[in-house]
Amino acid sequence: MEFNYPNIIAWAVPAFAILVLIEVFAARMLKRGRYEARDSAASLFMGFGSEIAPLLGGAAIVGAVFFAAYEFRLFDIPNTWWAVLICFVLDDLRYYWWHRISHERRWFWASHIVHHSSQHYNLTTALRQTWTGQILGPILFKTPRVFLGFHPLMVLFVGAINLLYQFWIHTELINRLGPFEWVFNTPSHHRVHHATNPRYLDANYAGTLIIWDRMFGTFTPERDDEKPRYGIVKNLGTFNPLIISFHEWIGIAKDVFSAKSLRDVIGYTFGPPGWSPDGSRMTSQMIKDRWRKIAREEQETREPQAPIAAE
Amino acid sequence: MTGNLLLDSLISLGAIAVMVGFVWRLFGGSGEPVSEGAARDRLAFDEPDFHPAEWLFDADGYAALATDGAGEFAIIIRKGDDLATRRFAADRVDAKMSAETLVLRFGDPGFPPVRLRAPDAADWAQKLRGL
Repeated sequence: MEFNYPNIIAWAVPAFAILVLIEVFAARMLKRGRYEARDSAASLFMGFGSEIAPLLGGAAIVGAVFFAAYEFRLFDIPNTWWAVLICFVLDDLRYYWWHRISHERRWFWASHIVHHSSQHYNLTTALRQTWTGQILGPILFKTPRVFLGFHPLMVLFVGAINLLYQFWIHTELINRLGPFEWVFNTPSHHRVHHATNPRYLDANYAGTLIIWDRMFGTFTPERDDEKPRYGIVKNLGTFNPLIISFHEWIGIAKDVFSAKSLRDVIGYTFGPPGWSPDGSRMTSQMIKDRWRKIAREEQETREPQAPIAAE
Repeated sequence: MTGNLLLDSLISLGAIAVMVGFVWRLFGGSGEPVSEGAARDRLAFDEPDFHPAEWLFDADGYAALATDGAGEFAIIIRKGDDLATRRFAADRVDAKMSAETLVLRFGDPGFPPVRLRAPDAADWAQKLRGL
């Protein structure tokens, strides 16, 4: 049976708005979860802009690359439900690696940082999406499936499903979900991903299935004794959407223009976020190391080393 | 096509206005003035190896400036109902006085210039200039 691709994003947008209103009301009534008007305005406006941005040319470029790759496809994969299922699982694996690289390499982080720039965690945060990064990411990470033989519309459809799934996990209203947590990405797992607590940095990159984090060693569970604090390690001092969108790109440009060697240019552009030639800034690994060192020192202060017992 | 896009955009912007208005109504729109407790808490989280020795608080409650007494400073500003911080050495900031207001510019695209109004702001300007 042939599979048709409904325009699920068009259906989803009104549902997003209704769910946001319900979450705002529930958060207020239950005194659980935080909202702030300017933060929500910034997130929603970023989401609006992210729907407009591809129309400036990015969508056409990606579409052209997809259809060119499809012309030279290796296999003719039929347009059936099982092909959609396989394509979705491959898309989720694609999402994991794209997402991980988006945190580990500054060029991609410059786009993705937008999504993490809110110090709140609610359904509007899910809609805080980038205006940049609409071309290279999709071409690099989605074209291989098209080249393999999955139809471009199928690839775009499963990508949209994956993004839609991730909307509802941006909430503090839902606690842990039992065995569902073993296989699927959940609000609890994704709260960890948005947290800036050193313990939680660089964890839980999953889109729909958390199994990838468990497989590739990046899974970190949420702890009852450590509440996530959201945002980025150097939080923005503004709600201005233009600053939110472009500040990291401006930072890259400033660093590149002040670089003293080609190595520095490459490091500033493609190194981990926070990389600097002299180590004066902090990458997330350095933040984790500092946290471990401080925790160790505190523990040693509390519990002076016991004298070594005579053998 | 263009007409549909324009109409869709207007509907989306209208929906955004409704949602933000609802948030404003239920949660309010402005945060508390920066207190020493909140500033210390945020600073301890963001910069755990920075130990503030002296503080300067903005009279309008927008910002606080701290020094560790060993040449490093940290600025904490109000951002909605939360705080944002930056840690810096004295030579990494452009500090100027304007009447009783200390104006700090960080050259950081994600952090705006900060104005601190306080009676002893001029003393801090000198500290920042290393005088």
